[in-house]
Amino acid sequence: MTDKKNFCGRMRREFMWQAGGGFAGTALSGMLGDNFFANQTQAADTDETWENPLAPKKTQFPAKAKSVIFLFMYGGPSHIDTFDYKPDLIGRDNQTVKVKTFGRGGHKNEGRIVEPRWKFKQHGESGKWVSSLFPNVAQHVDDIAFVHSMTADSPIHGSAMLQMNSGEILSGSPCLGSWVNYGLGSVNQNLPGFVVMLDKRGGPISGPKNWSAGYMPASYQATMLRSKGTPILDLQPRGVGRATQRKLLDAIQKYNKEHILDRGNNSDLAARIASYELAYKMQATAPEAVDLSKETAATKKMYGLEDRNAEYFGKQCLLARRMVERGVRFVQIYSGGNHNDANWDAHGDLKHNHDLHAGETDQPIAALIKDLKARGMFDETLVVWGGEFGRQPTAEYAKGTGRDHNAYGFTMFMAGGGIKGGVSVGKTDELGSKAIEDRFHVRRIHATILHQMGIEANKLTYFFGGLDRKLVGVEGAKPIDKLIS
Amino acid sequence: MSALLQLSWRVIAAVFFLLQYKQYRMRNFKRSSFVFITLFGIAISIHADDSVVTKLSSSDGPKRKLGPNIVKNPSFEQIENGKPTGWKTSTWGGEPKYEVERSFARTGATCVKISSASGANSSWSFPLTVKPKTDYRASAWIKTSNVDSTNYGAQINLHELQLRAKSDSLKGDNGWTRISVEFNSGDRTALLLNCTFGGWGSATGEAWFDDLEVVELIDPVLVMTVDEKTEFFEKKVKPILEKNCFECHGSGDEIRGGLIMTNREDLLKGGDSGPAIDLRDYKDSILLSAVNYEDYEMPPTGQLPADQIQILSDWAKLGAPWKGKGTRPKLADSGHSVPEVNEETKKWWSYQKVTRPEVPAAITAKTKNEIDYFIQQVQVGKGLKPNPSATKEVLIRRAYYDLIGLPPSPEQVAAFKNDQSPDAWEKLIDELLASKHYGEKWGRHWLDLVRFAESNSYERDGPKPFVWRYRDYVIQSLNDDKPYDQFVIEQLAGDEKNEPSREDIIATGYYRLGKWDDEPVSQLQAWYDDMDDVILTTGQSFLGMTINCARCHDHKIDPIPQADYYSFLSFFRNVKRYGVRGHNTVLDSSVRTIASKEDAIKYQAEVKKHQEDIADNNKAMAAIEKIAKKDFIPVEFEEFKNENRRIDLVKKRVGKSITQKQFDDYREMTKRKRDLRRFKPAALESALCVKETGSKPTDTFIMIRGNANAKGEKVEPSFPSVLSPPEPKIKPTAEGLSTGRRMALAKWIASKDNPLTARVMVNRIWQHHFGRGIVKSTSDFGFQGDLPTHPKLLDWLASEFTAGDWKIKRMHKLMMMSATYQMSSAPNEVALKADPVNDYFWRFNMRRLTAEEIRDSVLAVNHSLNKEKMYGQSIYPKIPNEILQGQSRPGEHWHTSSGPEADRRSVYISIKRSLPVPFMASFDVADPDSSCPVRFNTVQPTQALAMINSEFMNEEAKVFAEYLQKEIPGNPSEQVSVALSRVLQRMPNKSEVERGLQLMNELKTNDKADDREALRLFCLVSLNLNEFLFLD
Repeated sequence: MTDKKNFCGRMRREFMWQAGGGFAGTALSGMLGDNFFANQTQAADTDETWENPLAPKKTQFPAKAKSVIFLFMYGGPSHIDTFDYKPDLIGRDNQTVKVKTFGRGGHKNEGRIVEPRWKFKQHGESGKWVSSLFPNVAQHVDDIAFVHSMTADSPIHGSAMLQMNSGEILSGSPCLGSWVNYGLGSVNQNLPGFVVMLDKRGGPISGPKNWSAGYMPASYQATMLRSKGTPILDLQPRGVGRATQRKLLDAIQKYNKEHILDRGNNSDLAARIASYELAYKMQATAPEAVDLSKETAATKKMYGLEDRNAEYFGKQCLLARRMVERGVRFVQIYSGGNHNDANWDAHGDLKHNHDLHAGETDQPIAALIKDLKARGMFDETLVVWGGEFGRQPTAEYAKGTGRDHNAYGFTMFMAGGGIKGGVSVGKTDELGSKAIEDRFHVRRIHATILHQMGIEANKLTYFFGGLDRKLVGVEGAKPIDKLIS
Repeated sequence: MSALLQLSWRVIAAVFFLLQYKQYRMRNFKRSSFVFITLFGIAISIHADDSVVTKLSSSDGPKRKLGPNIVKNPSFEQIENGKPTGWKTSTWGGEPKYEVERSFARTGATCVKISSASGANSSWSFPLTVKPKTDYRASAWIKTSNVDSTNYGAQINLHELQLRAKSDSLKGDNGWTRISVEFNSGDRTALLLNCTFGGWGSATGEAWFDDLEVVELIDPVLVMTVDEKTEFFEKKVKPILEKNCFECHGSGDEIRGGLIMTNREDLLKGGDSGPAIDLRDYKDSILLSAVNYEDYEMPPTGQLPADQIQILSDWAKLGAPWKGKGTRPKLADSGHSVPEVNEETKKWWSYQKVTRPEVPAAITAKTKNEIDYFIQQVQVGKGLKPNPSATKEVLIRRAYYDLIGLPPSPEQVAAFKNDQSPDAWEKLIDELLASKHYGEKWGRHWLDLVRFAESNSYERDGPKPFVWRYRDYVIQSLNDDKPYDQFVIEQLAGDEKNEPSREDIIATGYYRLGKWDDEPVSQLQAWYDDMDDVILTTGQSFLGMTINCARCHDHKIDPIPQADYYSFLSFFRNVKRYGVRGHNTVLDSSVRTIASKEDAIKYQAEVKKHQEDIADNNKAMAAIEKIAKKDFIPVEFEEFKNENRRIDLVKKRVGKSITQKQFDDYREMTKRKRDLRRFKPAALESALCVKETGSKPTDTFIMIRGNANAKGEKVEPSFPSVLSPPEPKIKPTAEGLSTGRRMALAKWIASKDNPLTARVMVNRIWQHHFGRGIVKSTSDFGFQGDLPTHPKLLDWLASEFTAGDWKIKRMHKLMMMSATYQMSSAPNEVALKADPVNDYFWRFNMRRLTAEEIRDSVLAVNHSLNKEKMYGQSIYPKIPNEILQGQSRPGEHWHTSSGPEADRRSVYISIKRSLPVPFMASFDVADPDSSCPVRFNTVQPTQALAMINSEFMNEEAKVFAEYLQKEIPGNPSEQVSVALSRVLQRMPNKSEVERGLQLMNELKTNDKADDREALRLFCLVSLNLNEFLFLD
């Protein structure tokens, strides 16, 4: 071990043993106490050369949820066509209305109403209005809490995606999943703590920026998990079998153990020796985690694996459940990839676009909720649904049904993980153009997610560039109490 | 409103006001339009006549009370000498006739009349005495007969306010009609009330005026009694505050934004952003802009209804009356207050000028130069002894990696080992410092600091044009041993030199390395965000100061007031944003040609010639096409639109309207047309660089809370005040392209008198040789940073640095010639106990190779590194498909390199912000979104997976095996030995070779590997060894 402190008093040891948490790593134990920042730096004053970092970190208070599955509807689903029922719009198609909007087309003061293209019906005991886009999810409204009054700072994909994932519209900050792993570590060191699964049509705009660790070490970034072929990059030995690879590793370790003899106090060397063993274990664990052959036919059917449209997202939802079962902290699945109608970005034909993407995701999402409940995992798994923003009630162009982006008001939902079911909080105006009651910024959703994981967002800090950085920004944010059971 | 305009620093707001006049409502100040105006810097001077008409709409609050009529003799009943007392006439043009009408009146006996047959512009006028900044309403009754006018007919107005305070005008025939106008007196105490006839034109006919009235419109809240005020607070205001504000601002467990609203004193004191209510002008109150959702959006859960906002506004207008003392939360002591700039804080060690300390006497014989004296002086006090010298094998490896980032070859190791001359080490250092690969290693350290990247991040993450020239500039500058002060000046202000060279221009690419959101929510805010990034990078990299922390408020830890941030910003105030939107805007704002004048002239001639060639060729083709077209059938005209079809259409007519010769020519010309399109004159060399909006400096203001729309006090350029700096000497550039401000800043930073610059830089040099800086927080020399472990040594090095003309290579040599550098890294139980983290440099610090060093070394030991090709456009190592799939357009902007190009050094790898090369990222390359002074140093299984399983490593192991087979065919033992000597840069011992052979035999016997594969796998093993990745 050489020096103990790094820039800004961060401790080198802190970064050395990300190995401990598997892919994504652990942070210092005890870092989430009330005096978190003090502990963070104080811990640097000790100089234990070896510490077993494998244990997951303590939460600040008892956690409701152990894992998060974030279903990211990339492109921005239209809230008024899905879960935010606006009876006032019915029968007003093509009417010109005064309404302030801000999308990729800039600021406008009036627009032509596009009446929602799907019929709404009430569901469940809560009587929640849901459109015919989500008939299966509608069966679970009593397990879901809807937030209709979301706001974000940008109606432009690039920066809005960054904000939904990292809290900031500027590039360079760690993502929610990175924060969770930084704060809590991982309970299964043989699997990544933060995985992301992408749409078959490609990644979202800004690609890997959306799951990057920003100013934190790269070990906190997400690992891309593929549902076909090798699940994780470089996981499998190339051209040799597992037995042969064991021999190679044994040879490496022999050399390394000889090398460390005269350098016994250097924990980096020891860590690196251990990292090969961890890697070897992962090679066995990860393929098992993505192997669906042990799932029953009924389960597969429930997730839509027999349905051509739902198959891809369904498989990812099923994988998400398997990951969470195995202790993965944070799973993010993207519905939609690439550009334009390959995701929820319905600028042209709203009907075509949303039928497609809802059609691919409705059944799998419903199945995920049902499956988690059946397995007794629902209470400790927080499911989050939403896009980077919503869509405008008015048309983007003179003709057609396309809607532009809307960051003034949109809907997200949460389920499981200690979230109240059957509630809806917040309101948009009668057009759905902006949130007017109980407005919640994206940061409030982040604070709620962290809270359910046993972390107070305002106390989870990371010192960088002269500042104590937080996921929820300098001003901080509180969880949304109304959602918490 | 008038008060707002009165404040000179709100002149732009006034400009905005004039443009937006009709829609104007103070509280509906529209941010977007505001942005537009200031962004394009439209300079409109306004005549500061503050009196403007207000539309006193009923929504402004309760009905206003009316004051007494201030017009004397309003109904013209008092007549003296045939004229109404107090009134006079004013003729502005034409021939009016003024009369007192005695035959009828609206009230009383008399009224006044103006008439004209030939046309007049005239009035009956009354001089008013008014209160300034007060709202009034003027009204009159008018009767007309046959009035016609080239502009206005009969009306009233306030003379000084001209068109802005006039009533409706009456023309034709009207019975007694009441007209009125409301206005604000602005700064005036006197105004002339006119009953005009033919205003701003000429009128004919007859008009009568009677019953004039000018009354003050009294705001009811202002006439409340004290009791009424407190009751208003208690009944109307407090419930709103309690429901919406107190939880976060006084009664909850946490105080947000430092603002307490549960008592009047704290409310007026305000929070981080200043007082919540501005008693000087209530309209400037943050409370009001917050509830109106102008910058803060409070309460955040939803905007208050309009009537509640009105109540708060009235309350602010009343001066925020309160009932009782209110409550004050028990606050946990935050532990420190914001440090001020004062004599005490100015004493901080790094703010003192560097004075050359006396060099301590040598203590042991093992010392080699002054560095050792300083180091040992401290060690003696701690009872520590320095380690003995490292072996020559260790030393040559250390020197190679530290200076050029590459491993020595077995031959180089042998030569050094065998060189017994006393100056063998010095010769080695000189040789490495002279190597052209030195800049490739040390340039990378600099590129980390300036967050060098070749794309912009965000949605498009588009490439930055010519940015590689900046990377080359850095490498070249270091290779040339350019004095550091020059290096600083060139980057910050190369373009502001007299007759800047091409290098000077390229260097200013410094300003263009950061992120760029080409579609920001607000262009204005985005400019400030971009500049904040420049301030952060400049402050931390050059000065070790976190000036960036003072953007929204005074620095919480260091004595850097917010005003200092904006004074610092003012040096960059005219810098254009990287671009607005799209490639052409980037070319406009950030690209200049660096070609010589001769080349530029030549280029223009070539372009002209090329255009003429195209025109000539087209003309000749058109002539033949014209003949062919004569017998086109309609569908052929359609077909002709497709260029590729034309030749067939012409060919069809060969032997008819077209001759074979004509067709042959046509075919030639078609080909030539294609060629002309393809081969354009080579574009002029260009560089990414800084550009300013012009030489006239734009004003800089403190932005309250860092909000680009909330202007505070104006500031002038100055350096951080805690350093007691000199005044900046600013001289606009000769060419008039920029303000010269950046040059003033650059010269101050690059000055020997600057207490920070030399210290910060020598500390960085030390850091990269010894594993950590003397100040460990190498970009923060402030209160929060680490104290130097060896302050005297640091100062001595800093004075050496400046005394040696800021030459960096000299400093390397000085450090490397010390015994301290040449120590072994071996552990020593006693010392480990006393100083486990080696604060006192009793041994050398081991380190892992950097990502670049690992990749370059893999290529070097397997003999495939293409180190001869330096500079130029970047390379694109293969990125696995599964990673490219993460892009929204998989593979976009990643042009995978192949052959020798792919084997170039890692410093030439293209850095795309949204697509880090996974192998490099896993070994902790700097994240290019922010300045990186110290890289992470992680150990994680993804690295192990990449090292054994990646395509890259497996391919390179194969190349290595092929090299060994070619060099030493059929001799496995020698192959293993050479492999290990190349990887470890020392001769392997017998058992190490034996182990390799055993592995190969085992693989051949039991794993069906042939000789080739066995050797390949051994090579892979060798490249995975700790000894390969770690330096002693």
